[in-house]
Formats: sequence, C-alpha cells, structure tokens
Amino acid sequence: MLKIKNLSKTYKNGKKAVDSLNIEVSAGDIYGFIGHNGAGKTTTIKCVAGILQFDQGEILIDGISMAEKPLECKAKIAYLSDSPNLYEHMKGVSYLNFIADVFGIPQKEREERIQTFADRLELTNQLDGLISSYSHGMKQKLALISAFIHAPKLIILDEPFVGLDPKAAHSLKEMLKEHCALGNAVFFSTHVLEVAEKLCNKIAIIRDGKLVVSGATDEVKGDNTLEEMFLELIEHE
Amino acid sequence: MNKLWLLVKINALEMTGWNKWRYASTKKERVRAGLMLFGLLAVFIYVMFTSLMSNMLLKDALIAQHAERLLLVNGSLTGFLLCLFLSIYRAPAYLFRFKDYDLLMSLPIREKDVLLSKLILIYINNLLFLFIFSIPSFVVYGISKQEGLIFYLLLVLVILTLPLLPLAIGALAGLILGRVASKFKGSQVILLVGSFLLVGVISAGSIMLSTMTPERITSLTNLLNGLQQKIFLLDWLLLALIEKNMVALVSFLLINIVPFYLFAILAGKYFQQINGILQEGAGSIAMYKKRSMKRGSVLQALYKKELRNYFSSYIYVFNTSFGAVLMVVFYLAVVIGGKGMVEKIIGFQVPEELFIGALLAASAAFMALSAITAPSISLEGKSINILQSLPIPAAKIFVGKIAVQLTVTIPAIVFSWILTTIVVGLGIWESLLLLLLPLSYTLLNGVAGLIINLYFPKLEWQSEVTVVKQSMSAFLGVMFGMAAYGIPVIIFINLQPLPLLVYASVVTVIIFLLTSLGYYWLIAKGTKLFDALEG
Repeated sequence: MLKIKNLSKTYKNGKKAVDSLNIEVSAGDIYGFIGHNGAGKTTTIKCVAGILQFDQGEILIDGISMAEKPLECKAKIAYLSDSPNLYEHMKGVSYLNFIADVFGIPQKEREERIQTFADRLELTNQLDGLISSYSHGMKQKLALISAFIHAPKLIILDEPFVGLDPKAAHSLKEMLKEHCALGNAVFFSTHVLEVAEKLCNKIAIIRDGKLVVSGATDEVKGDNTLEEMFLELIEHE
Repeated sequence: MNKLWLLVKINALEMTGWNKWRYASTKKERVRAGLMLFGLLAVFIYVMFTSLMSNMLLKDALIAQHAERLLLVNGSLTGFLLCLFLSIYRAPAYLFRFKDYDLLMSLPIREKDVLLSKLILIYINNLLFLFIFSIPSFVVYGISKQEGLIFYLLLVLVILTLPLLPLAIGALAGLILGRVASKFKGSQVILLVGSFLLVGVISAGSIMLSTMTPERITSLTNLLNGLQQKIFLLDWLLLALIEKNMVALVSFLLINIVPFYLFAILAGKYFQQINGILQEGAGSIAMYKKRSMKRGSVLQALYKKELRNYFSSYIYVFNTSFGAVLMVVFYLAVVIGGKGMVEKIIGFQVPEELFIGALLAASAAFMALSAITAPSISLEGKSINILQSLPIPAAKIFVGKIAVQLTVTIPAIVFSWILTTIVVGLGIWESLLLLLLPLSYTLLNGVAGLIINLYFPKLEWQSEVTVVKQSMSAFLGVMFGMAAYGIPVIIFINLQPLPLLVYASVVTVIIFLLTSLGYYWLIAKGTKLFDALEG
C-alpha cells in the first residue's frame, strides 16, 4: 500500500531530516512510526502526504509514484496533521461537506459516513457549530471524521491521539482496526508506546532521520515491552 | 462544484468572516460581527462617494479645456498602480504564508487550483479597490461625454481585466522575492526588505504622478499625448473606450490576460517548492550550544518576547512599520530636496512660516500610520492563556507591547529629528517640537491600540493576515491615529487659534495628557478586560 524507498530530505541549513529511509506498509497493516522529537517523523509523513518535496528516493502509494502522479496518490490517502488547521469560520458539517466535495463523494454516502463516524466520536450534536467554537479535542474529532469520509486506502496520521478523551481514543482505535480489516492501511506516528504496542501489527523506529529498526511488532520488541526496547535502542545506537 | 471555485468560496468566507455573523451563537456576537460588516460597508460606500464627488468637481474644469479624457487616464493609471501596489503587498502573505497549506496540499487538488484560488482572492480584493478609486473616474467620464450603453459594456470588460496585468507583475515580484528569500537563512528579512523596496519604487512613481493636478491640465494634456505614445497599454485603453476601437480593446484584453495566464503556469511550477522551503523552520533547528544565560527582569523578558514575535512575522512588520519607514524616507527627501520636495510630496505650496508646521504634521501623520499595538493582543491567539496564567500583572504585558511600538518608531523619530535639525537648521523650540510631537503621538497610538484591541479582540484566526490587515482592531487603530492627527490639523488650518509653535506645543501637551489618561485606564480597567479574554 505504501512503499518508501531510499527517501532523503535535507533542509536548507544542511541538516538531513530524513536519511535513506525504507519502509513498506502492506494492505491490512496498522503501522506505527516511532521516534523522539525531531527524529524526522513529521518530515517523513509530510513527504508521504505530498506536502513536502524530497531530494532523493521514491514514495509509492498503492503502486503509484507520489512525485509523478500526486493527485492520483492524494485521492487514495487521508492525512491528519498533529495540530489540524481547520477553517475556523466554517460550521463543522460544512467542513466535512467541503472535504467530501473535494473527494467527489456521492450525497448518500457522505451523509451516511458523516452520521456513522460523528456518532462514534460523539460529535454529531456539535456539527452545526462554528469550528471556532470547538475545543481542541472536538477539532481533532472533526479532522478524524474528515479523514474517514472518503474511505481512503491509506490513512496517514501524525500523533492522532493527542487531545482525544479516553472514549474517543478507544473509538478511534476501533475505527482504525475496522478500516484495516477492509484491506486498507494506516501509517501513524505516536509517542504513546503503549498504544503502538497494542494497536500496531508493524512498527518502525527512526532516529536522526535514519531507520533504526522495523518489522512486525512482536518480532521487533521480542520479550521486552516496546518502551524498554525503544529506550534501549535509542540509548545504545 | 469545481474544486477551484470551492476553494475560492471557502477562502472568501474565511476572509470576510461572513459565517461568524451568520452563525453567531449569541446575540452579542451577532451584533458585534454585524456592526463590523456594516462599518466596513459604510466606509466602502463613503470613500467611493467621496471619490465620485471629487471626480465630479474635476469634471467641469476638464470640460472647459476639452480634456475629459484625463479622467480615463486618471482612472486607469490609478487603478494600475493601486493593483500593482496591493498585489506586491498581499502576494507574499496570500501565496506563501497561509495556514491551510498542509491541508490543501494533502488533498487531491491541483497545485494550480490552490494557487489560482489565492490569486483570485487578491484579484477580488484589487477589484474592490478599483470600485472605490478608479471606477468613479470612468463613470464621470461617461456622464460628461453622455456615453451610451456600449461605453459601459466596454468599461465592464476593461475593469474586469485591468487588475490582471498588475496582479501578475506584483505577484511575480512577490514570487521572486519568496524564491530568493527561500535560498537564504534570513528569508523573512529578505522578503521584508525586498517588499519595502518594491513598494518604495511604486510609491515614488505615485508621488511623480501626483503632480497631475487640475491646475496643470494644459501641460498634462501634452504629457498625456507623450504618455499615450509611450504606454501602448494606455493607448489601447483610451482608443477602446473613447473611439470604441475593437482591435485596441482586444489588444488591451490580451495584454492583461495572457501575462496573467503565463504567470499562473510559472508560479504553479514553483509553488510547492517555495512553500515547502518556507515552512522548514520547525524541521531545521540549529544545534544548541550551551552558553551562560543572562538573568533579566520580568519586563525585559516580556519585551524580548514581544520583540521576537514582532520581527518574526513578516506580515506584522510590513504592515505596521510603514509609518516609521516612510518617515525616514520623507526626511531624507526633505534634507535632499528642501521645502520644494515637501511641496511636491504633499501637492501644494507651503508658505515659509508654515514650513515647520508641515514637517510637524507630516511627522504626526507617519506616527498615526504606526498602529503596532492595535493587533498585538489578538496576535497572541490561543496562546493568550499562557500570558494569563503567568504570575505577572497585565500592566507589565501592556508595557512590553508598547515598548515594541516605541522600539520601531523612536529610531525613526530621532533619526529624522537629528537630520532635520542639523541640515534644515531649526531653532531650539522648533527642534524640540519635532522630537516631542511625534513621540507623543506614537505613545498615544501605542496606548490607544491596546485599548481598542481589548474591546475588539480577535483571538481565533487562520492567518496573521486576518488580524493585522482585516481585523476591526487594526482598522480602528489606524482610524484613531488619523483622527488624533487630523483633528488638530483641521482646527489649525481653519481657525488658527494660536501662533503655530504655541499651538503645536499645546497639542503636544494634550496628546501626552491623553496618553496618560489612556494608560491610567489600561491599568484600572484594561487589566480586567485582558484577564477576561478567552483564547
């Protein structure tokens, strides 16, 4: 579903944010992307989402190159940033309608999906309010609904659990599992290692832009907890 | 719906805040938003009406000398320069520093459509200004020549295409600046200096054109003939509107549309690259080297924070330091060109004994343009909670914000004062006034800006542009400055109640007194309003 091949991205001050990164996310994977602050997670995610251009390598979404056919790739993905910037002067439902328009979702489907996901994240009653009146968590929920609205093949999330209440976090985990069970995939960054350990069937750990380890979660962590393994890797590398 | 128009609609709704009025949850919010929209509409209609009236007054003088076409020249040149100025001014903010960049670039929308949607916003903005400053000239020409329907149909075509070429040129200048700036570490500074230089060149052009007053109609007609031969764009426009020449009309339309189209293609090619580089900040943090840290007072800490915030925002600096920059440029011009230059800039003769009065009025006007504090509280945005939670009185936060205003304006005041005192040779009283009067105005503006912002906060925003350029507080801040400057000037011109220097001294004292009263109010009531703000 997602192939990151030899990806490199250097900033103008010469710092290599991502260095020859290789990751492969298959259909059905919930893939956790882990690293400390400044490790290059967000840069990688932004390259995958087609927001940042990269210097070397290739990003393939469902076999299609992001560099060559960005629109086709973007039609297959949903991206959610760590602090979603929504249009403050729109109503929640209007924002969802806008995203559905962009993806060309038929009326009946969009209404059903909005109803389903808003109910699950308990935002239905607030959809008629202006986004400017939403709390951080409510904005996060709205952005999440917008990510599911076009049933994307790949959902890319940057720290999706920040700001969510425990119930919404639980609902999101279930939604992600169900989405992947349909043959789709999820690639997300997180600092919450317990979530990654329980939710992800595969993980990758990145440090200073380089891949430290990747693979099936059980194989990567072995008999340790993910936290123990992460700390050991980061301290000894 | 076409994705381009979907984006235009969304952006227009965000820019105007229309939904905030339409869907306001409380009556108070609805009234406030409604008043704001009504106020803007009232100002728009008032300025357009004033523009129309001044053109009507000019009409009779022009008819007498058979030079009505100067109205068309005035309308088209004003429109062209205005659109060019506004495009340079707005392009960097609209094209390269918008908050929804990540969202839009992750969606299956063509980069070209994202870019075009932003360009269309600038186009609509420019068109609104054409309605105020250009269309009245064209319409008055139509009335004076008793033109028929065809003229007005042609006029609609001309007006709709007139902003395209200056928009392409202005936005290209913005794009080049953005691209050049993105290659360097101090990209904000390069963008800022470049923008000031470009606007400076346009302003100089406008000052040269300001010599085109009704008193010089005869010489202007000759000038026009020369201009018409040299500027084929103007020639085509005049031929199209006056002689209904269709070849000229098509040429005019093409010369505006084609460069705009080519620009859109070129800009689309580099759009993501430039924006990507400009947003690298967070990912390209330089390695910290341990060094000793200096301890400072609370006020110093607040001041440093304010100063850093101010200079890290291109939009904020560019829009609010204009008065100070113009002041320095003006006094350099005065030193080089003397009284004649002042007369050229303001457009009329100044008697020798009133020369210092003109300088004082100019200084006060420049300070009136420097409403730095007016959007400063709004710019805190959601992070206002951080300030509110700190164990410091709001008064110190206010002082920190006023100190930034003074940091920007006082160097300009002192530079102009020293330069003028030495070169022009002012007496002690005159010299002191040239220092104290602008100082009193910048202090008053600083205090008044905060008071206005406390009453009209806008803590929820998508882009700094909406706070710095489009918020009620920023608008009222400049309006207050203009009133504080204009009222004493109008009183003196009409009544001359006291000798000039005595009058200016009295005004200075009154302004200082008003500043003190305002500051007292800030301490007594402003702190409570600040604490009640909800980010």
